[in-house]
Amino acid sequence: MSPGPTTLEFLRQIIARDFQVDPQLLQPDARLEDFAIDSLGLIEIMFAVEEQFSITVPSEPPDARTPLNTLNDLVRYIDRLVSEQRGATPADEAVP
Amino acid sequence: MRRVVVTGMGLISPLGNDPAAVFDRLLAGDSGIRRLPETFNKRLASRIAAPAEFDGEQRLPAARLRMLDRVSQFALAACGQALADAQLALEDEDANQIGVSIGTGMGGAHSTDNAYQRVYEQQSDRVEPFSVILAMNNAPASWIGIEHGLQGPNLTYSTACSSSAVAIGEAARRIAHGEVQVMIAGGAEAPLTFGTLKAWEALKALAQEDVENPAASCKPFARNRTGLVLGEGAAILVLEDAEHARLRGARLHAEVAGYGLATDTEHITRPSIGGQAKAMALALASAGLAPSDIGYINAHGTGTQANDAVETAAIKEVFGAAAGACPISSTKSMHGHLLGAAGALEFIIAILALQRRVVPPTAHLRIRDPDCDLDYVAEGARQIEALTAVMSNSFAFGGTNAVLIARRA
Repeated sequence: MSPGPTTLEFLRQIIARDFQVDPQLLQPDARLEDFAIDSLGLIEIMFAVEEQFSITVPSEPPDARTPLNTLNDLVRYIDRLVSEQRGATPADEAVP
Repeated sequence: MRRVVVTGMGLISPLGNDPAAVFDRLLAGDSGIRRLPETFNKRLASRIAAPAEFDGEQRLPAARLRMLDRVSQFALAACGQALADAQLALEDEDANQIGVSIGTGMGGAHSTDNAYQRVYEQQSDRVEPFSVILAMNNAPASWIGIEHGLQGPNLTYSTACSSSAVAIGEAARRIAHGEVQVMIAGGAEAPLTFGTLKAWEALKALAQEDVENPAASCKPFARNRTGLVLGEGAAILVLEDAEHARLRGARLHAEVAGYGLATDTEHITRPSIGGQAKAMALALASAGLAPSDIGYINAHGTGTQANDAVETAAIKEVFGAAAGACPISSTKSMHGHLLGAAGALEFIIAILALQRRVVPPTAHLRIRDPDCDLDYVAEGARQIEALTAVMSNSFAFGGTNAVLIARRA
């Protein structure tokens, strides 16, 4: 799956804002650890992602086959979750 | 047993964020208690409190603030001051020999309040991602350890209003027993949230507003006292093995000469003459001092009907004939009750009194209570040239009574 520009742009925006990173440095192959984004930083990013894309990010991290090392890894992972969860509208989840 | 000295002090308080300046305001009888702005919340019966002048956004970058409740911000700021005051070059020290011992009653109360507002009031299913880390009681101590790389024991004590006196006393014991050379010890509290104020209001423990002068709402030992006023802040001391301090040529503020810890089991909130007296007696015994050696008592003096009369009786029980001659003041009349940070703030004030040979007054004590008939320094600050040892009392809901004694080093 090719990185969705919307996802990448959103990530750039919040990482630049919350981690004080120059947006120019936030290229798709940029490594998160280079911006001091650790496991807690990732939780913070995912919190914003959940609100932006109306998805639920699972508590457990993705398995080793889908590492979250680079910005592109993150984009791919988020896009996959969006695609998997598309159609799960609030109406479907509503309890009578 | 090793001698323990105080080599650094720092504080964030309703009277300012510098020990010497805060002490000057206390001597002047200047109160930091005031009416909170209406925006705070109109639903409070009494909006009187003692807020600290502290804007975290001016001090810390946004990325750090998101991880730090106000209580941890206070603790870090006060610790930074204390370390600078001690001129302790951490890079030259063994990190395993420096511990942290912090008292807090409520931990991250603001974060708890915020999370509950989102879940219950706003019916949101989402709270801040770091709510757990923000609110946990050991966050202030942990952040101090992390910020400065201190790998000795990292401890948090939560014994309500005696939390930081306990934290200091227990830290001093660790040094005295030779376990560590330095302890960063004190307390932090940030309880000025709507939820916390409401809870204290429900307990009928909060002072009514003095309508003529809100700053005078807390009147310890006065017949017309109506309760305590909540305050916020942090007070941190650098405690050090005296020999360690001597070898590095440190300036000594005082010696931590005594610590008494006594539990009363009569009641969850009602203060006990026996428990308070026992804590004072144990502190004197551990310092090897007689009551007449104590030249000043910084009282627990909350301004509640129950505490002030009981504390007066307890002092009489321990001090006997010397009770009437010992100047006693409750500085809570000016800085309010900092709960888990109260003991540390008041121990610093007692040490400053020792250093400067002048004791701060009990403010707003105009109408005498026959049950409170000792010398509360009501008329204003008093110079006492012969001051050689001072006592600081901290008593708590739950019954953990703690008393600290400082002596000229």
